[in-house]
Formats: sequence, C-alpha cells, structure tokens
Amino acid sequence: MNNKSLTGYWLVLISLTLLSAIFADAIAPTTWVTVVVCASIMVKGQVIVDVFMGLRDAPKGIRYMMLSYFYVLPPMVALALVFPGTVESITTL
Amino acid sequence: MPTLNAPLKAEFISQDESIYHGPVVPRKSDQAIPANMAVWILIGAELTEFALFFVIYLVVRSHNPEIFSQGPERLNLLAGTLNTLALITSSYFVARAISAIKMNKPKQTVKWLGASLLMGASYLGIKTWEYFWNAQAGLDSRTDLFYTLYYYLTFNHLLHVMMGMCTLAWVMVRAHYNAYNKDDYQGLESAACYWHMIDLAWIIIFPLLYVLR
Repeated sequence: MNNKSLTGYWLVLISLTLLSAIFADAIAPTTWVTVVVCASIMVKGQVIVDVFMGLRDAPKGIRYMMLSYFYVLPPMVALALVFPGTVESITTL
Repeated sequence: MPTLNAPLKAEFISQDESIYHGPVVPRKSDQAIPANMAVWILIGAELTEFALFFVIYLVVRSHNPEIFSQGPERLNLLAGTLNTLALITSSYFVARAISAIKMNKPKQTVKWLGASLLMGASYLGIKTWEYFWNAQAGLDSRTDLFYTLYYYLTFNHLLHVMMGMCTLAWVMVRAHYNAYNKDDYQGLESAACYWHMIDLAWIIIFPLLYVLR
C-alpha cells in the first residue's frame, strides 16, 4: 500500500465520520439513517482492518476474524434499533 | 530398480515438462501474520470485551427506549466527532510509520509515531473537556442508565487509549535508537495493531452513543 492510497483511505474515513455527525445533528432519526450509519461503520471497519492494519494479504483466519466483527456487529446494532420490541421480548425473563 | 536418492530425484524432476519454472509465489499458508500471535489473541480478547458491552447496551436500550433516545441529544456531539477524527488520524499516522519503516526510514517512523501520540493526547484533552462539559450540564454516571453505560464505555475506552499511548511511546523511543529496520519491525507492528484495535472499538462507540437515537 503506497502513501497516496493510505491518504486517500484516511480521507474516506474522515468523510464518513463527518457524514455520521451531520446525520446526528441535522436529520431526524429514521430507519434509513440507522441503516446508512451502520453501513458506514462496516466500511470504516473494513478500511482500517485491510488497509491500516495491513490484513488484506494476511492469512485468511486472522483477516476474517477481524472482518467478521464488522460484518456482524453493525447489522446487529441496526436490527436492535429498528426492532427494539423484539430484542425486549427475547431478553425479558 | 532405481533408489530414491538425491541425484536420481533431480534427474527425474528435470525431465518432467510440467514442472513450474516461473517466480516462486508464496502459498497462503506461508504468508506471515502481521505482528505476532500473542498480540492477535490480546486484540481478540479486547474486541470481545467491547462486543459484550455493545450487546448489553442494546439490550438495556430496548428496555428503556425513551431514556436512550433522549440521551444522545444531551451529549456533546462536537467532542465526540473531534475525538473520532483524532483517533482516525492517529491510526493513519501509525500506518504511515509502518510504511516508513518498510522503506527503512526510521527517522520518518519516529516522526509519524510522534504525530500519532499528539493525536492521542488531543483525544485525552477533548475527552477531559467533554467530561467537564457534562458535569457543568449536571450529567454524571448516576443521571440515568444511558449515562451509566456512556461513562462505562467511554472511560473504559479512555483507559485503552492511555495504554496504547504508552505502547506507542515505547516503540517510538526504540525506533529513535534504531531498534527497527525494514527486516525487523515486529514490535513496532504489534504496537500499531493494538492502536488500530482501539480505533476500531471507537468507530462503533461513536455512532452507538452520539449518533443513533
């Protein structure tokens, strides 16, 4: 990974962060906002794991372990926020 | 009947026209793990700990929707955004430090690590300001369940940032004394991976606490 590419990916991360902040500040919370914000978490996670950590060419086991974190948690967050009643009923003793 | 001794084997192989004469490409299983296995076990443990906190947050939130939809509105969004930018930038600087040592430029590595530490210090400063700002607004860990989890998650993360900064400072000193070069930088890479892990945890904490209502 050359330095120009690193800088490009850094700018992508900065842009996604600012986009999330704008969503928080200016847009009413809706299902679509939740989905877009969670998708941006997935993209940010993938960039940091593959580019900054340099796992793109690493053994698959470690790369997939790290990526699975961002393929599982953000969708889980989105589902929990969109369907809070289901989470409540599942977790009520 | 020929025996399988070395010269005969060489002759046998040279007669095989299907033998591959191109450049040697490492198999996937031969690829090196960045840093070392111990660091990946630590990173896995830390991320699992944060994942459990996130699950707890989502469960508590589902039982207290009103408290948790109002909570982010009272937080300092500017502080959260600036902290995210500081951590992402520090991760970028660490990636540049690794890139520099791969080109055998230890002085540049030290420079990038110093810049990364500066970003880490900015994070600490902004977080301190945010906690004071909260206190002035009458918010603390006992305000309600949202703030209990907010303080637990962010203070826990803050401790990780401080630990990561100590690690980065240590490898920066070692890089200054030429302990690393393009063939040997495992210690530096271990510290870098740990620092990126701290960034990874924050990129979930930020939207969870500050953005998603």
